[in-house]
This record gives sequence, structure tokens and C-alpha cells, in this order.
Amino acid sequence: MSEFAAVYRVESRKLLAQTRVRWVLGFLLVVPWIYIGLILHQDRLPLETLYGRYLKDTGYATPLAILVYASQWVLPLIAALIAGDIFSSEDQQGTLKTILTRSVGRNAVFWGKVAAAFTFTLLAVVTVAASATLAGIVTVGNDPLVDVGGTLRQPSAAAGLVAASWATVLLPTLAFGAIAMMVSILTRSSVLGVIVPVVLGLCMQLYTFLNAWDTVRHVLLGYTMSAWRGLLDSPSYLAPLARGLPVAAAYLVVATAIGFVAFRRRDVAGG
Amino acid sequence: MTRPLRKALLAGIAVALAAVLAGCTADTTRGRVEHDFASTFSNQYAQSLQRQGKPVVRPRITATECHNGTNLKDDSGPGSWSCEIKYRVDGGKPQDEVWLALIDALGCYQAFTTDDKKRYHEITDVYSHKRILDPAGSFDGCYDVYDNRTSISKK
Repeated sequence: MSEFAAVYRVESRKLLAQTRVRWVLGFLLVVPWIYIGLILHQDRLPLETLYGRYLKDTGYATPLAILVYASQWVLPLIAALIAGDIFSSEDQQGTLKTILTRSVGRNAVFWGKVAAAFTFTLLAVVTVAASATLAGIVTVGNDPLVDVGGTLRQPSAAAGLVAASWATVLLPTLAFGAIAMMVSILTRSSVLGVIVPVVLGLCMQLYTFLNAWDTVRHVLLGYTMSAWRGLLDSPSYLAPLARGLPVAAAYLVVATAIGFVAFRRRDVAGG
Repeated sequence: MTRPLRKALLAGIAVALAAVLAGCTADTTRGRVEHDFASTFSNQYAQSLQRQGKPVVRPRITATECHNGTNLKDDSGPGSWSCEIKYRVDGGKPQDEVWLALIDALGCYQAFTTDDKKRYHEITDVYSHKRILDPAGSFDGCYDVYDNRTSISKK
């Protein structure tokens, strides 16, 4: 087994054993059901939320309304909770020296940890997307969806669009995870590793909703998180996605590169 | 790099950045709002008839005029927009309605007619047999903030 695979397997097992990660996955599994359950038991609809008006009409509105909320602050939080202490916990427990004096190199440790954190972040996003879609279909029904252009989309097309919409937030979510890992490597603090990406995400979100320079908004991760909206218009438009995904990729690459260089140069002699 | 050279470089970057930011078109423009509101209204009107099991007829829109109520300088930016739409259905009487669109900074909006009876009117969907809000009274919309409809004139 390669060094990378060995580290990846061990880190994945460690993440799965963490109560916090299990709670996050369980929470994401349950929350969509509670959300749609509450909506169905009240008279009013959240009309101020995109797709909120269709929550009682079709099950496909549930994952979309939840995506509106999730893209604002939930996804950065998930990424930070999973990835924010994967490096710094080794510092706090003084185990980095032990790992690095074993038969694995620094590169394998770095990429194994990054891959494990990204895998669990993706798993979390897929969990909430699948749970929300299932909750909507089971409780509301497998009915057609009216898109934001006013066109009726048949259930099979709606399911495809919901999946595509959730797929577009994967890259920016991983970018938040990369920022969390970078901060956790640079500061050696689990608290900062979790808090900094969340605060950064909130600041980006605040700016996104301000009537400020639009050009600045376009280079924030929060904007890419909302670029999926164009997929569900008629005719659909992809320009926000085409411009937003490279932005998210840039955040991901830069944060990972900084983290990698800092980790490579780290002096762990002190334990 | 010497200190004066570094200062000059930073000043150059700042000026270039300011020029780029100042020269950019707003995401939300009157051109985009009017175009999207009119086409979505037409689709939603037809949708309303279809969901009620009536023959689908598209309204012939004769005029759409939208203005940002919160930006007094020009018709751009998010906020509360009012849209007046004039249309005729199948040779019937000319209709003139005023709608309100609450537009967010990401290029999406919630639009509803100012006539509360129409806004909260419910219809029975012949397909799902559910009571739904009449799409001809309120709907959501989004527009491409990168298209070429950049007009922001109040006139």
C-alpha cells in the first residue's frame, strides 16, 4: 500500500471516529426532514426565499430552498468543522513528530490528510443534498417543478437540475475546507481553523448582499455558491458558473499551496 | 525592490483597481429587470392557465417599465423595484398592472402584483390536485448579470 493510501485510510478512520463529524453527518441527514415537516404544518410559506413558494407544491423545491440557506453559511461551516483541525489536532496532541518519524513522508501525510478532509466534506454535502431531495419527494410528492423562468420541468428533469445545482457548490465548499486547513497549519490552532473560514464565509456573504461593488462580489466564494441559480432559468444561463468556478478553484489551489509549503517547512523537532 | 518603486507599484495597482471597479456595469440594471420580468410574467401567466386546465394563451405584452424605488440616481442595483406591465390577452381588454419586485444582489427576485387579491389568489392545480398560489399573481425570477442589457437610465 502506498504511503498516501495508508495516511488516507488512517485519517478517514480518525475522522469517522470523531463525535463531531458523526454529529455533523447525522444533523445533515435529519434537518431537511424537520424543515419540510415544519413547513407542511404551517399555513404560511417562506415566500421571501427562492423556491419557498413551491415547497408545498413539489418535493424538488425542498432541496433547492435548503440549498439557498446552505450556500449562505451552512456549507462553509461544514467544511470548517470537518477540515479545521485535521492538522492542528496533531500539534495540540504532539503527535506530528511521531507520525513523521514513521515510514511516511511529509508529502504523504499532507495529501492523505487533505484527501480525507475533502472526502468527508463531499460526503457531508452529498448527505444533505440526498436527504433534502428524499425528504421533499416523500413528504410533498414527485411533482413537476416550475423554474425561475416560469417553465414547468418534469420530475426527471427537475431531479437532474437539483443534482446539478448541488454539484456546483462542491468546489467552493472544498475551497472553504482548504482555507480551514491552511489556517489550521499556519496557526496550529483548531479553534482558529474552524472559526476563521466560518467568519470569512460570513463576511463574504455579508458583502454579497450589500449593494457594493459588483466586481468584488464576483470574486468571492459566496457568489460562486449562488451561481447555480442560472441552471434553473429558462433559458438557462451559465456565465455566473463559468466565471465563478475558476474563482473557487483559485481559492482552493492557493490555500492548499500555502498550507503545503507551510507544512513542508515546519520544524517539528519540538514535538 | 526600492521603497519609491514599491510605492509607485502599489499606487499603480490601486489606480488600476479603482478604474476597473468604477468602470464596471452594475449587476442589476433596468434593461435586465424589464426583460426578465416581462418574459417570466408571460411564462407564468401561461403556466397559471395550464395549471387550471384552461386553454393556454400567452399575453401580448405591449409595455414594461421598471424603476428602482431605492436608487434615486439611476435604475440599477438591488432593492425594491416597481414594474408597470401593459398587456392584452387574446384580443381582450388592455390590462395595466403594477408589480413590486424585491431584487437581491445576486440577480434574483420575488415579484408580486400590488393587487393583494390577485397576489394571494390560489388555484387548484389540475395535475397534482393541490391548492397553489396563482403564478399570475406572484412568482420568483432570476436574470443573467453578464448579459448585454446594461441600460440603467431612469428615462
